[in-house]
Amino acid sequence: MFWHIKLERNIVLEPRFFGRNMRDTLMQRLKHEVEGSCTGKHGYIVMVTDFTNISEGMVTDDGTARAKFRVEFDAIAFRPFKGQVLDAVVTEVNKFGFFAEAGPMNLFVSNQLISDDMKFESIDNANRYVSSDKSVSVQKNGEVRVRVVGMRIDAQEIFCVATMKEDYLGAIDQDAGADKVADEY
Amino acid sequence: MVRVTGTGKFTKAVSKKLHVAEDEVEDEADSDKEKEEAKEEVVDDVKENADDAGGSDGDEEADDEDDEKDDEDEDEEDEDEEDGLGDSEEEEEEEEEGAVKKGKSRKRNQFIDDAAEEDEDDEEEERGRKKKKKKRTGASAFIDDMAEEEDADDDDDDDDEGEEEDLDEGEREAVELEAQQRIHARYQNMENMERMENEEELEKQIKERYAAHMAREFDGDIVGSVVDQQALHPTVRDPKLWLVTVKQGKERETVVCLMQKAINLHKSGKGSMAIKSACVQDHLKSYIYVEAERESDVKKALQGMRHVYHSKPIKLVPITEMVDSITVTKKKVENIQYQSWVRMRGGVYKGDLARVIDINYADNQCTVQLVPRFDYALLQAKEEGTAAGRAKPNAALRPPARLFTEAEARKYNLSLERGRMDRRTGDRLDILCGVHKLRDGYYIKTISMASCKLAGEPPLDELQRYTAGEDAAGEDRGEVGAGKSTTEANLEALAASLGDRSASADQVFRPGDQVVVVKGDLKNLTGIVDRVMADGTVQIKPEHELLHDILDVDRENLRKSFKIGSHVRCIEGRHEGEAGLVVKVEGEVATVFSDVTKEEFLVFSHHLADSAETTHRVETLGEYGVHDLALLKDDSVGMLIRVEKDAAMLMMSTSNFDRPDVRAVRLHDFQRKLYTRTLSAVDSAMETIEPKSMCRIVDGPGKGMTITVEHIWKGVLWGKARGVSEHGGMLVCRSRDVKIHGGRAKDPVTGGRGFGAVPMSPGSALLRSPSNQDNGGPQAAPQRGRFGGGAVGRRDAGLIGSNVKVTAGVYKGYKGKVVDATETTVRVELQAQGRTVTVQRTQIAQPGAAPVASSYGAAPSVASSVDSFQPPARTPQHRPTTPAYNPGMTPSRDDGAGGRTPLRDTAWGAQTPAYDTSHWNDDTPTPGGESGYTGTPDVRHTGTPDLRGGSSALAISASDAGYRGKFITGAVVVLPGGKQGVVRSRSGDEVTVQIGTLKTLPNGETRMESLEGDERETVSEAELELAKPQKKDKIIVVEGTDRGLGAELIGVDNEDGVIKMDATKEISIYGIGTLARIFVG
Repeated sequence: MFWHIKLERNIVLEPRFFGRNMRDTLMQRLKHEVEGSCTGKHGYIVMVTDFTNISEGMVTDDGTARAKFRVEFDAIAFRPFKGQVLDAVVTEVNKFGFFAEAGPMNLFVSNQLISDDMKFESIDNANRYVSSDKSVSVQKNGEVRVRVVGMRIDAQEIFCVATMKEDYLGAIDQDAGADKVADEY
Repeated sequence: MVRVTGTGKFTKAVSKKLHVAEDEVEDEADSDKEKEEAKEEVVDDVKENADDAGGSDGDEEADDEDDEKDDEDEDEEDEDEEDGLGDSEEEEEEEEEGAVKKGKSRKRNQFIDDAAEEDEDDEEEERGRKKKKKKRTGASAFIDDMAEEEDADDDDDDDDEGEEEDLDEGEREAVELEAQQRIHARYQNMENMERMENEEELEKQIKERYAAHMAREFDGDIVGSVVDQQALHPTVRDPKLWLVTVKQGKERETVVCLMQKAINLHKSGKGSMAIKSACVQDHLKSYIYVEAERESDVKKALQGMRHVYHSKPIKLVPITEMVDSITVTKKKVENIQYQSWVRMRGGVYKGDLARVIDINYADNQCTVQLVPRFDYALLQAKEEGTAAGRAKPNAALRPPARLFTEAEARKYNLSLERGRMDRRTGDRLDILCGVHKLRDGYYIKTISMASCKLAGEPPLDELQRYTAGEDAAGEDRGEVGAGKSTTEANLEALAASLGDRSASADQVFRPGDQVVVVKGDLKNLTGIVDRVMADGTVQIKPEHELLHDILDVDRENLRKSFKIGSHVRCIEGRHEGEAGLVVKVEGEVATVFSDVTKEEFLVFSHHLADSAETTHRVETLGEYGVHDLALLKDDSVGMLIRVEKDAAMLMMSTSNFDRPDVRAVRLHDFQRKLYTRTLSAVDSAMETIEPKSMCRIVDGPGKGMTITVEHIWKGVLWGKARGVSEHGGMLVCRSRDVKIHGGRAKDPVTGGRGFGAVPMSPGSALLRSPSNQDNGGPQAAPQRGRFGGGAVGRRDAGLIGSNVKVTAGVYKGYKGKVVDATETTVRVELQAQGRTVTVQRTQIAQPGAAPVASSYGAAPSVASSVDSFQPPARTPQHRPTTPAYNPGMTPSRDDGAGGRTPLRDTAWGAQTPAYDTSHWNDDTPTPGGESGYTGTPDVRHTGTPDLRGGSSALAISASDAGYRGKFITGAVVVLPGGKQGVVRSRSGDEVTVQIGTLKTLPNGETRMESLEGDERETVSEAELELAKPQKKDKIIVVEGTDRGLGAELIGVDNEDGVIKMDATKEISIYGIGTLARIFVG
């Protein structure tokens, strides 16, 4: 789920950046530091949308002459929840199941959680899960809709286990997926 | 334990103890005969018993007797009137209890009880042999008669011999009488048997028989057992215990032989042995205990025994150890039973899991079911008779364990007989090649019980492998786990194969565990463990809308439950410590997707515990956690990618993208943890890589992958790559094969690393070498402004790939190819030895080229690093004609690196601030390379003429380029006054000479020994002479075609000098006047 939240952060700047473009540098550095990061509370910070306030710089007391700024900003955060339905792009398929990514987040769908009629097959190192009537397949770069069933939140990432074994879940946008595969090979 | 006992006090004590133990034992394992056999048994006063038992199976019989005796103790009291019946019942029991017993024993059994009972009597009170005999005719007439009847032949033989030898008439008569009496007794016995119907008499008889025994039992109860035991401990007055060495494996036999000997002696009336008892402990190999007063008694008793080592000393067991040494500690016997899991001990199947499907304790054999490891090719070869004497199957190269399929047999054209009835298993089996029995794809093998051992609870994955395809046998199986139906069936099979054991009391619940009730009224109720009581009940907080109170539930009725998606940690078993997300729960078995390995594994749910939502990396082995870099004892380095129960999987630095070198390492093989936070490496574009940098692999295998660097060690990167699922996404690559994402120089925001590298002082721009703008090329690397040191790791690509020769050090004389070079060292792949060594740059030379030495000139940063700045102009050494010399590149101010340093062009000289003459107003070196040089003073300070680093090759120095005269820089010359000195510089005709001190040699000639002070004289060239070089002097040829070549004077012949050229090692002869001695200090 995406959230638009207010956050604060301290940014430390080296003296060589002091001067006219300091504000730009600060913003740049904040984006660099924050965008793509992940915390358990807020999830992934996808994008910094606005700087609401930048405090006065305080030269740090550690002899490096760097200055510390407190920056308040708005950001879009992506935080998945158990039970949430997500669309994801398959990144890897193996016999245990498949990995997919939903934006910055990786998720795994075990073959136990793939509907029973989909079978694993491996042709020329191209692994995929194919339904018995061959109409639906999950392969690399294909798009799937899954439901998050479990989550592990680390310092650096959130990892989910998802299921595709429910109604209204499964491979979506078949043609596009197939095209992408075709492009790749 | 078999034991033959006389009247020893000590053995009595122990036997009493043992009786207690036995009773316990029997309670536990009545049905299992084998168990009892394993347990040590006691037979008291076996002299009598052995009459029945005789020979080597005496011990077995003794066991039986004992069992029956114990039964009798209880039974007979109730049903004493029916002795005969009782006996026949016994017989039946006997048969039921095991097919072990042979029909032979049946007859005897009738009497055994009696014998046993009588033994008790005998043991109770000490009495003489005669008295015993007397009694025998009374109470237990059966036994001896029968026994003697059996042994009659033997005895008669003995007796006969005896008669012939030493018996006189009277005695013979006595013997005959005795024999008659015996026969009479037998008839009496038979009469007794007939009279059995007479119940009253029978009752009387039995009462008579057991009266003494019962009395004794009663006594025993009255006397406190503890005191009793204490009193029975051996004292110094008691017989001693001796330890006798016998042949290994013959311990029991020896004791039985002793028993037999005692019997025979007794029978023949030759008096008894002086030993009290003998016994054997099953766990004590090649020793037996003998109880006797004196060692000589033991010796005498053992005389003539086959398996006794008579030469070995008989040892006395200290009195304090006596009780311990023959006390039988009841050890828990591991029993292989029907359906137990066993592991094979040896051969191709060593370590393999097998299931016992049939067991025969009598033959000590069991039939197991194995996943076959057939070498079909070998079988085929055998079948066709073409097996060319192939050696025994090698355990290291053993065939994979796969279930047998018919397809396989067809493929190899092997004969397969289907559905033959097997006698042993009573099942229909297939026979492969006429030898190998198969059932459902498993190999059925009958093995000795010694060749397998109990497996305990086999790990789940192994079980799964074992059961894999149990249902799919017969059809062609796919990969394990590929088909879902197969896996599911497996799980069921697994659950079945494990029985209820897993669900029983060995579960451990902790507060907070999710549980489900599996039995009773509350079945399927879920809840959370609140408390675990000491008595095994568990208080749970039910999750039900109508139930709010805490409930007490028996542990046995609970099972842990995990919801799909919950984060769990394995607390037991092979995956102990691993954490992951539950993907599937099926009965007892949960599928967990590991956080670290990104693979699934199966575990029993009772081996799992909830993990906090955030993972704390507790996957550690000692101090080593997952993703730590560790140095091993063998100095190899690897990163932990997975931690298992007692080992960690390490990805070694020798790994490749496509060939990861992953090893299991145990804790004691670790040396220390490596901290790489502060380390860095350079990528292919000489940008600095630090931990957590994002890099793209641009070369070698794995090209195109993007990795996040985790660790850096000596140019090797461990990184995490997206899209790699093996080993938790970790891979290893060389730092030179990667390119860092968005080179840092271009990124003002990321800046450098912290403060150290960020501020480029304004001076750095000035200090930057002009080649930064002008040259580029291979020299681009070292151009970045550096502050002090840090030279290590900087590469000098120019030298890499060239062939060099090592000129000094341990590798002197070796030739090799440079594989890596820094400013100070080079890595040389030696041609001769096929290995790579590190050599100082000063110690290598390129054959046929100027010596390669430290490339001081190479890096313009020299300008800013004062330390490393060297006086530019040095002794003339360079031959402009060196092949390596690029004519366009002028020789450098030092010894040779200039050969590949395009520094000395005019542009450089003009632009480098460091070379600005204003900085060096005295003795300013003119950049050496300009042709048409006209002798600016060359030497600054007191600089010793170069030849730095002991480089032996000489060449004409840069400052002499264009000079055609004899007095080259560095030459030793004789001044008009006889003084000698070294040419330092020239200006037109004037030569500046540094005066040295002289020494007179034994041959009368003078020679300049050293340069002291800075005394200089300027003399015109015409007044100078070259000093005459001596043997072994370094010289330079100053005339002729070889002018400028360095050499060593190896001999002087009048006016000719014999020299050995430095470069070519050729020997030439030159006029001594054309050889200028070069002063090398």
